[in-house]
Amino acid sequence: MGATHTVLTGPPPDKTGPPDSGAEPAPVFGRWRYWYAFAAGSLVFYMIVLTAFSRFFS
Amino acid sequence: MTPLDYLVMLATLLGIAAYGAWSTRGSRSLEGYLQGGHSLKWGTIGLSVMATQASAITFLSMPGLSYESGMGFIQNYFGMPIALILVCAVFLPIYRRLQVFTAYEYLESRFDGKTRVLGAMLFLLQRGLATGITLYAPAIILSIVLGWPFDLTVAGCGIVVIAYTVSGGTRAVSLTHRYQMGVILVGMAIAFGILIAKLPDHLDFLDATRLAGELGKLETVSFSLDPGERYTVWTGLFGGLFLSLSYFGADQSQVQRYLGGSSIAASRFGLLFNAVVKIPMQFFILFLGALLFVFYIFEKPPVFFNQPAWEVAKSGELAPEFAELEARHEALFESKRTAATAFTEAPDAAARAAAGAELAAREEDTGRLRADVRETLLRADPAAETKDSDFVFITFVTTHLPAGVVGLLLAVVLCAAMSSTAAELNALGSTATVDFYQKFRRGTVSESHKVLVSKCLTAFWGVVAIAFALFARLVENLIEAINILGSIFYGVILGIFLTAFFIKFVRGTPIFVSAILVQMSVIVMYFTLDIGYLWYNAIGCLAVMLLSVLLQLAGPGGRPNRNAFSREPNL
Repeated sequence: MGATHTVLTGPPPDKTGPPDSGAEPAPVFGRWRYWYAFAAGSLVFYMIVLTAFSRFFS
Repeated sequence: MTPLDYLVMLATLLGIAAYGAWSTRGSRSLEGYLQGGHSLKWGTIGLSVMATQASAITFLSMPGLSYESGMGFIQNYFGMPIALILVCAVFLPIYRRLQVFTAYEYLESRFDGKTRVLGAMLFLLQRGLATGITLYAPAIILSIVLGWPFDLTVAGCGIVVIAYTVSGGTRAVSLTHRYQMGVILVGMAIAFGILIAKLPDHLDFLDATRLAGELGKLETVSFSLDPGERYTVWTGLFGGLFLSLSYFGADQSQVQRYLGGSSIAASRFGLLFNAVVKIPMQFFILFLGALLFVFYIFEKPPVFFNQPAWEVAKSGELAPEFAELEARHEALFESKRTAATAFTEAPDAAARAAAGAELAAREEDTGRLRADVRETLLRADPAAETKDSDFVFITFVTTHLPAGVVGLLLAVVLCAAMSSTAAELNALGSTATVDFYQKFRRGTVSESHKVLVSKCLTAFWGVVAIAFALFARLVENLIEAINILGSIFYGVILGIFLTAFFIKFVRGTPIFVSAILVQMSVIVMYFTLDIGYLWYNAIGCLAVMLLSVLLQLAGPGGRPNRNAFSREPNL
């Protein structure tokens, strides 16, 4: 099935078959990987800024 | 408090509650009542998730915590963005595909009915008690500081929350969250602005920040590997990840917030909004506390911020000792203010270093004075509560903010209490309806009947929360007991869900048996081992996953096939 997540519309289609049926799974991160990378990147950014803030004022 | 304050506070609280109840009245279907008809936009979901997590204690205690021990607490939130990404990528798509009302419904489709009931029961037990504390904690502080009747404060808040939560269900909760969060953010920004304006004329914002840093209040990040250090990057990333993952992924009070999204994208954006915004928001609240510390270097603070308790204690037999402590406090305040002025007006680096050393020495004296104050309070009354950091911010609000703004800030505190309580009651009512009433009731019933049952159960949990909050005052150390209770249960619940998602070959009975055995073991460990209770989140989770795998392998037909440990979460 490949990437099944639609970015700005409703939920992706159901995965067919029971868990072990061998149906090709949807990717965990899919098209949202850029948004997830943005959120994870913001954490890294905050950690860097807070470390600099802590060092500068201590 | 002036009449204007009461007017601002009551108009804000009742206005939001009435708007929420009125604009969402008349849900006819269970889907509409429990999931808001899938009509919520990402902004509403984002603010609703934020309002659910931020209770009154966040705004009362955080500035005091920072005032006392610095801003290191912010590291506790480092695991949250990662957890929210995992919830978006793994938990949310599964809940949406199965169209569940509660997180625990998924456990039946993945395992079996008994595992679902176990998960729902653990949630009801832990969250049912915690909701009482959400009401209790701000009421006890406001009743002490403002002299409000405690019982009336708890009952008043509780009844208003029950009214709009029962009336409008999930949509009312989410809509009111939007406005409550707006009031909270505006109120805190105003308090911050007034605090800056009230700093002495010779002290600009940068000087005030430098002063806070000089006295160790701005140490936000620690990479120390010392297990004795309470807040470090590592405890924040790993402990915070487990805690946030179980809270956002398996606690119905949060799951219900994002399940009401108009699309999976709306739910994801709402959660990712929190992943990006939460750390700056907490930084702002903690920084407010650090600046309050600077403010009280130049403006004389009380010896003990819980002033009513102090007044009672010093009128007893130890009055001369309390008078001596007040004299020491007066002298110390003057010398500290002089040292701080010398620090900010130092002409060069050498003079600044000398003034900084003098200031640090006076701060150590302040620490010793506060220790003596606590010791004397305990001698006067062995049952006295000697922690006063929860009273720092509310003391500033009631003594230094103008009329009207005091009412707004009290509305901030009560909005936070009501928003958390509403989300929790909504989740408790939903779980009791869907995972118990609907599951065990035989025969078909109409949608309006299900909505009525859900309303009754939500009201029931509201009454339980009020009763528990009233009872809580009679029991020592109950708040800590409830926090411990949460940590003990959260790990096991998360372990069940992570096994469900990622270890395909484990079936119902092994996970059920594992969860019960591990839950009992964690309780025994709590009473026999001496480790921080936050660790039970990780221990419970990993033990459930490991034991369920072992039991599955030991049982008949337990061998995994080649797809058993898939990267793809399991349905």
